[in-house]
Amino acid sequence: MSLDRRTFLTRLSLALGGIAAGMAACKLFRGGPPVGQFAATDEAEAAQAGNLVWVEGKDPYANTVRAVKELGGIERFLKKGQRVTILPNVGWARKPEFAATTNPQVVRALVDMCQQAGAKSISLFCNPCNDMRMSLDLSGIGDVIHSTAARYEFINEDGWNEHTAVPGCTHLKKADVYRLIDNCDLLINCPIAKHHGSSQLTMCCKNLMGAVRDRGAIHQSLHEGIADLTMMIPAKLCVLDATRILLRNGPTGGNLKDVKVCNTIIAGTNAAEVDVLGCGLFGSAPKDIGFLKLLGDRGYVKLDPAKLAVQRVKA
Amino acid sequence: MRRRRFNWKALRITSQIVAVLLVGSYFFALVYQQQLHWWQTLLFQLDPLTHLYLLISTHHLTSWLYALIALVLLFAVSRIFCGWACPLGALLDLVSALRGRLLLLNRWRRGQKARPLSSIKPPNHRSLLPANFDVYLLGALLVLAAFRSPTLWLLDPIVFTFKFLTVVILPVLDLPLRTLVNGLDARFYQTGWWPPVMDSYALYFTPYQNPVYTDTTIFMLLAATIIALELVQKRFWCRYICPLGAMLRLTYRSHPLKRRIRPDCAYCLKCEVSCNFGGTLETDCLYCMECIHACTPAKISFLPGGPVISRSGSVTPPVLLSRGEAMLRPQAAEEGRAMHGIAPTEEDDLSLAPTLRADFKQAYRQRICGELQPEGISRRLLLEYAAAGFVAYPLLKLFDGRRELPLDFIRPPGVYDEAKFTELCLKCGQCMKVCLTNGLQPSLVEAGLSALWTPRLISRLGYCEFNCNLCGQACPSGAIPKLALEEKQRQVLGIAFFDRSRCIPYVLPNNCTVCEEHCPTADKAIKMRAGSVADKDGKLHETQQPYVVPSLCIGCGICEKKCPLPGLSAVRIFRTPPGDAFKSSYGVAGPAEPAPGNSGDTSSDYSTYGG
Repeated sequence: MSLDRRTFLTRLSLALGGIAAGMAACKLFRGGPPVGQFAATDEAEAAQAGNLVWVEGKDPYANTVRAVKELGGIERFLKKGQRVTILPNVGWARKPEFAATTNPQVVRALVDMCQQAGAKSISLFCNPCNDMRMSLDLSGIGDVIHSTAARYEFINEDGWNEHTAVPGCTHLKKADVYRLIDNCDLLINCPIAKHHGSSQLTMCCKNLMGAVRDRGAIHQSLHEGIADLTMMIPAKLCVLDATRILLRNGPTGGNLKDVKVCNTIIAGTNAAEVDVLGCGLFGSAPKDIGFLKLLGDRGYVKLDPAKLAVQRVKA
Repeated sequence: MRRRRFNWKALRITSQIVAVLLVGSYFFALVYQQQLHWWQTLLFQLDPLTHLYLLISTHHLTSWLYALIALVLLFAVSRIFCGWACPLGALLDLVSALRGRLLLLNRWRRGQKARPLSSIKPPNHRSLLPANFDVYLLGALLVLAAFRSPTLWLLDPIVFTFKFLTVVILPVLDLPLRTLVNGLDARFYQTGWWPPVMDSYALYFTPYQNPVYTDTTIFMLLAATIIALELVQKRFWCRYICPLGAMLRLTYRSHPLKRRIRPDCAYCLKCEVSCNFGGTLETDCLYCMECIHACTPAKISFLPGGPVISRSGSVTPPVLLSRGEAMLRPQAAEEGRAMHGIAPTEEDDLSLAPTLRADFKQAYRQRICGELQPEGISRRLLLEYAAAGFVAYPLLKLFDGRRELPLDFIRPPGVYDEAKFTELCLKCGQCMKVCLTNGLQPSLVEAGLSALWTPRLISRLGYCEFNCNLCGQACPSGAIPKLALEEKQRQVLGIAFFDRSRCIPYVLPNNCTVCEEHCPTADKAIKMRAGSVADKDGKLHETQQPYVVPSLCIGCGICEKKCPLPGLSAVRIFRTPPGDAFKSSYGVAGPAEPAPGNSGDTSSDYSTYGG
């Protein structure tokens, strides 16, 4: 088939016009907030309700509800029609009793509260170490997804946004953070408290590793990396699940002898503060935990638990 | 005037499409589940060749029930399978159907004008290999199987299809599809109308990564050869090679459904030309229904009743003779008609027979005039081929030599007896399809020719998931044992060894601990201890350096997979000599031989290795 110049030019301009129209349509549909928007916690609200709460009680679901209530209720953080991303620890394919993953009851309580507050969408996210499908099934968080409106998002490899370091970061210059962390109105950090071979303890700060990729490189100066991530990804609500904690052989666990039942939920608005309190579960001093010490040195958190205003509740 | 009749050919093509869709669904359904369904090994359990092979190579059947069902199917379905259900046959039929439309072929034939229908170029029905070659080949393969050398067993079309889908089609399908799905999802996921497509995609394809398999080029070459042979002659593979086809060829004789021709056949020969399978006088038939379609006066039927043209059954020699003769000299058809008092009607279009080209007629000269009966299976030839298998065995072994398995050649969990595994493994690829991490890969000749395309774990590509026993569940022949999860978690695949010349905390004043973090055993097999590394000024820094406790290590390979070094991992899994040999090498209890279960015990009398 031969093609004369006129036909060629006509077709070329049609094709280019089509592509341009398509791109314009794509642009139209894109939207959502820009990368890296995090409103600071409302100081007036913060003054009214406490910013740190320690709840002990038999039922993890009730504990979680109580903890959020003591912080001022989920309405303090979430307005009707907003989008929520919950960041549980589903990093390992382990059953809940091994205390390697966040207790599903805690996640369920958070999902239910968000739904009752009229959240537009509730997404769960964790960049897992083991196979994701298996981790969801064994950890029991798969059941939460199946029985509630929450959605777990499997990773889209094109879905990582590059975050540059905020002032105060010393080690990381940038990190690839998953899009759900950016494209939400409320980020809930919902880890489990457990031992960790290299970061000593994994709680709210360390859980942010579940939101980034290329973690192998961060491990070479893990404490600096965790401290930087804590400052780069501030979650407005942090709920530390200490229903069961893992004392040794973390972060994977696998031996029930290493598990201690604490029946505790620590919640707060600052990941580092929650972690400082969480050290008490393990009997460690916050200044001995590398990343907390770094955060303390940077003035991000007070390392003395006694100086934190904690509301202790027995449910 | 054409009589209306049932369109059997359309039904056959529909059946082929349904069969391909069924096999495709079976294939895509074999993904992560905690417990596989009972039917997820059915494809291979219903294959009579599987049972024959296992019976000959291991002297026992894996399942009496399935063997019985397969035997019934073998006789009841027989050759109908090849024409109506075989997925490979469907692919080959598709290739033949596209033959005239393939651009390159048309270029090659450029200049040839489309010919009128009356002068259809007859297909090449000449026998390119000795008659019944597939049966003799099957004989040779079975002799090899009896020697426990299943080298050529991947000629089973079911095995071949599944393996081809796994190692070639899925990765090839997945790569552009994943790019498309990822791109669209990244663009539209915030809009209200966009479905959560990533979630469903990740369930049926490996999450996060394109599945890849090593050394599949050679596999693709084999597939390309089969397709090229199809262009040489329709159903070349099915006529001369296919071992399953050879079995079905044998049961075809006793099958009640056969091609029958009414005695008033006017020798127009259109059925001969239209046949997909070597002409209607061949020993058997694929029930492709092309002849019914071609026979305008509708004198052909496959239903019982009426005379049969076949080797066994009520042969009608005069018709057969006349039909053969008619191909050689057009006037013979007339003589035949006169002899049997057949008066051709208007419906009998006799224009084709005189136009048949000389080479087409030549092809039939020997078979039809020289020897009226189609060639039977020669006992002598069968013995000759069996003897060839007998000779081939030492030749294959010659290739293998006395080679040791490479140190990094890791078998799936629970496999300790290499010889037993090789003879049981069908090479079907179900384990590779179901493997969650894409770590199970087809081997080439690392373990010898006999073990071609058997599964091996390449930990750097994908580790063995601690809580997963799906490969054992998916194995249709029991080559990978079906183990309860607790039992599987004790299986020792190999042992991790650190390469301290590359491992970061041994080389740089940095910590790493990724391997230790991922180690899944309850008492971690990788432990850390303080060491010191000099920096560029010679100043010593304390680092946490990993070491392996061999008695705790199960060789799952997650450390090798997750090691952040580029390229070669600094911790690698190596084969361990089983049982006593291991103990003498490392002073610890190694994997038991061959029974699973009691390995990897945490007895205290171990010494540490690796640091």
